[in-house]
Amino acid sequence: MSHFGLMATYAFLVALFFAILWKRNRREQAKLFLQLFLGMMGGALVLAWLMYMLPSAPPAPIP
Amino acid sequence: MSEAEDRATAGVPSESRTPGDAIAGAWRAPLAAALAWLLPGAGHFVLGKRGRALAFCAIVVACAAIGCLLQGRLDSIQPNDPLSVIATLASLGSGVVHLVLKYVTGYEGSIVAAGYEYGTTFLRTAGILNFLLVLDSLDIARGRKG
Repeated sequence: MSHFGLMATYAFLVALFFAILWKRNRREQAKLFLQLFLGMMGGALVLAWLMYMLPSAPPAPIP
Repeated sequence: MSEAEDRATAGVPSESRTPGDAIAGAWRAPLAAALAWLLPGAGHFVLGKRGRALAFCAIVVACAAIGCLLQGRLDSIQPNDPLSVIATLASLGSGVVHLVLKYVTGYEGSIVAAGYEYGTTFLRTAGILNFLLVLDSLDIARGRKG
């Protein structure tokens, strides 16, 4: 699985967990799930985009 | 309610008890917490929150299973590495999942696997999420949460 797929899987499971843990109403659970899932995915993509602008380090020497 | 039932549910608000609630009395909270740690979702199950229990169990086991498929590290305490104590505690949170992986299957993970870091994160997350379930079970058992 790709890095993106793993990140999405992780965000899905964690968002689902907290939505069920913190909310009782189905509608509220769905709303919180979307907030957490999109927040984690969006936050990671923004962070990745910011890091992309940083100069990359030289490749590590192969032992 | 009989006198015996009164004694059994002492300290537990009646509105916090549900029809499927399987345990009562002074041991209600510690027993629910112990079960919650041992088997993900079991604390909620014995407190009558069956649907939530199954969902929590599925999520925690899925996290651990993905971590194993990716060959993540199952943490253990390393000498001269204080952070490994915290990581091991986090990993231990998944209860029977951690114990079975470590002592029954002898699973350790593989540092050369492509998904090693992700797998380790999934395995630790499974434990930490289960610790939250232990705290939630305690709150439900003590009547602080429905």
